[in-house]
This record gives sequence, structure tokens and C-alpha cells, in this order.
Amino acid sequence: MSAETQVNLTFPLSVDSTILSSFTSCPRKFYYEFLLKRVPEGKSIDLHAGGCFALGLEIARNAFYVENLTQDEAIARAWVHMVKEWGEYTEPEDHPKSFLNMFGALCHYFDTYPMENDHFQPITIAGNRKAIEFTFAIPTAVRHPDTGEPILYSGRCDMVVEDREGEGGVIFALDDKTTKAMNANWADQWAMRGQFYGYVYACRAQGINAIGAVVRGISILKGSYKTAEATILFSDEQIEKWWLMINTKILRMVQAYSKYKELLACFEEEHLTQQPELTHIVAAAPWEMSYGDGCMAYFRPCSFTPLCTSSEPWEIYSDWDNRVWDPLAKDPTGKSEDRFLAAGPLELPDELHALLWR
Amino acid sequence: MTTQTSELPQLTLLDEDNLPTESELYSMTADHRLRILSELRTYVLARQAHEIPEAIAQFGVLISRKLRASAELGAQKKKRKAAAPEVAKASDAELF
Repeated sequence: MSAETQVNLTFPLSVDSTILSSFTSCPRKFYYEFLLKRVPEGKSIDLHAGGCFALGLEIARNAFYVENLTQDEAIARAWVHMVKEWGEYTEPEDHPKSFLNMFGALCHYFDTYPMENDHFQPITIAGNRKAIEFTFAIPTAVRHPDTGEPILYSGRCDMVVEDREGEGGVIFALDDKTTKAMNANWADQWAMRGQFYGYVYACRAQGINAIGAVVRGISILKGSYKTAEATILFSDEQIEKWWLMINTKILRMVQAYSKYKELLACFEEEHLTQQPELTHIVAAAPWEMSYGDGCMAYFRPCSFTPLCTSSEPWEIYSDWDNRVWDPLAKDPTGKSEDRFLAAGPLELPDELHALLWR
Repeated sequence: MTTQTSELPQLTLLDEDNLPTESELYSMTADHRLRILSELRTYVLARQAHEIPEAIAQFGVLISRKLRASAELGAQKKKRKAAAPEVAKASDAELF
């Protein structure tokens, strides 16, 4: 019997839209990925290439808007950083997301939306900083099951921008998306995407009156690029409803986690030591399996299918990589340590206390 | 950790002080351009970002754009070629 006798579960100190989507689509997927912190070996080309493109945008924008370089100079600086970020990674043969295509996408993006003339310009926020890679961590009303601190809702938005068209002064959260194919309905998919509600909520929580989100998409094909833009407006009521829903969802996650601890307490320690697989069975029990749409993602079977179809999944956990998801990083999969755990106990500023208890 | 300059990979396919112009790039084969880009990437990977001369970075952009443009052309040609038999079939049908 090679099963681990201990199940090392830790509930995240901070959740983001990815974690919440995972829980919504399949609680068991959430259990594997964000509590057991298991992921398939290797890094997906989509995450690697997307992260590289996002870094290029950030570097170019900072060079242009903060350091006042020309767009050409800014793109040259982005090229250097993208080369370094890409490193020795070899993309699957014939895959459209190669280094050349991702850098080409960056050039195409700035050809389409030149920084000098773009009607969306980054706003200046506290500390005289440009709102490029705008990060946030907002305490929710739900207490962490182990630490008792408020669980944070956190994220990272590409830019907070002011629309200078018309009378100007209208603020949006702007996010860039890379995709393979872009169909006619591309712009319709974002209206209910919690990620963007979160960005707008975070802006408003910091006194920035964002009225909605702009999503810019670029499809990366071998022979061409396509761009599209979607604008979503959110009323106060919609945002409040979303925040209530987020808190409810996190509460359900905590309840399921607490159920595992309650179940575990029903067994004597000796019993668990003699039958280590029991701990795994009990740990997984509160996390329902989708048996539906959650079992497919991006037209592919969910990457956890081998665990869900195995009668003794704990026997193959060691074949999987260990990874901590960092919602605030450009590459959320890059680190193996929880930044919130490393930061120590949470000290809330007064204004966040007010938000938490309102 | 500091690295001795002599240990760092150098550019052998390019003269750092006399980089090829856009028209010179045109006259190179795609394979040669790819080798140059590969060497440039090795050069960049071995150095800190701030150590990369601006001219090298600008040239990196130029050659990457050229290679991507050639790939785009290639893909379009392939697409046209793949579509051609259908066009031929259609005209045959019209004829008979």
C-alpha cells in the first residue's frame, strides 16, 4: 500500500474567479486542483503562451505610459522580456501559439490599438501610479476555516482605463484575452463572467468609479490574427448581487471543507492509520463530481479525468505536479508557495474593515 | 552571481555594430533568418534584460516580424493550394 497516510489539505487564504469557476463547474476539480494542489505534469502551452503575451503587454505599456518611450522602443523592450519569459520552452509541433506567433500577436495588437491614439488610456491611481496590472485583494464576509481571518477575493486586471472618446472621463476595467478561434459570438460570452464583475467591484471598493469592463480579444492562428472588443456595463445592483453570490459560494466551499474535518473526526486515529486510503475517501467525499459539462473544458476532457475514473486515485497523486495557484501573479502557476501564507497574519486597513462589515 | 563576459554566448551570425538592414534581411533565406533569431534568443537568455543593447532588441523585433510575415504568406499559399482542387472541380462541372 503506497497511499499517503495524511491528506495535506489547506483551504486557500485567497480565492479568485478561476478558483470559484472551478468550484462551480465541478467541486471535485476544485478539490484536486486547489485543495490537494495537484495538476497534470508539465505546463500547458496556453498558460505559458498567454503569460508570455500578458508580460509583453505589461512591459510595453509601462515603457510607453510610465517611461515615455516611443511605441517602437516599448515593443523592443517587450521583445527582450518575452524572449526571456519564453525561455527554452518548446511548443507542441504545429501549435499556433509559438514564440514567433505570440510576439507577432503583440505587434498586431499595438498596430490595431496604438498606445498613443488608443481612446482607452490607463488612469493614474494612488501613489501616482498608472493602473497597469491593477491588483487587488478584498476581504469577504466569510472566515477562513483554519485561520479565522476573512477569506480574500483577489485578482489582477490588465488595466483600468479612461475612455477619452466623447466627453471622456468614463472608466472601465480592461482585460486582454488570447484565443485560438474567434467566432461571431465571441463578444457575447463575457456579460456574465464573474472575473469582470470582480474587477469592477475592486475598482469601486477603491473609490474608482468604473462603470464596466472592456474585453479585447486576439485570436492567434498560424496564418492570421483577428481582434475583437466587447464592452459590458454593470449597474450597482448587478455588482452587489454578484458580491453576495461570491460570498455565498465561498461559504459553501468552507462548509464542504468543514464537512471533511467533521467526517474525519468520526474515525479513530488508529483506524485511519491502519487504512490510510480511508482518509483519502473521506477527504474527497464532500466534493461532488460534475458528471456533466464540468467534465469537458475547451473541447477537451477535463485534465482530472484520470483521477475521477480511477478506483484508487490517491495511488497516482504522486504522478501529478504539486502547484500553488497565485491569483495575483501574471503567471498564477509560477510559484510553489502561497503568497498570502508567506505574508503572515492579515492586517486589514480601516477602510477594508468597513467594506467587510457593511 | 556574476558571469564573465567571455563565458557568455556571443553573436556569430551578426556583426553587433553593423546589423543587417531590412532590405538585407529580405535577401536572406528563411532558414538563415531562423538561425539568426535562434542565436539572438540564446544571446538574450544569457544576459540580464537591461544588458541587451537597444539596437539588438530593435533588430530582434524586425527579424521576428519578418519571419512571422513569411509564415503568414506560407500559410495563405497553403490555404489557396488546398482550395484550388475544389475550384478546379467546380469549373469542370460548369464546363460539362
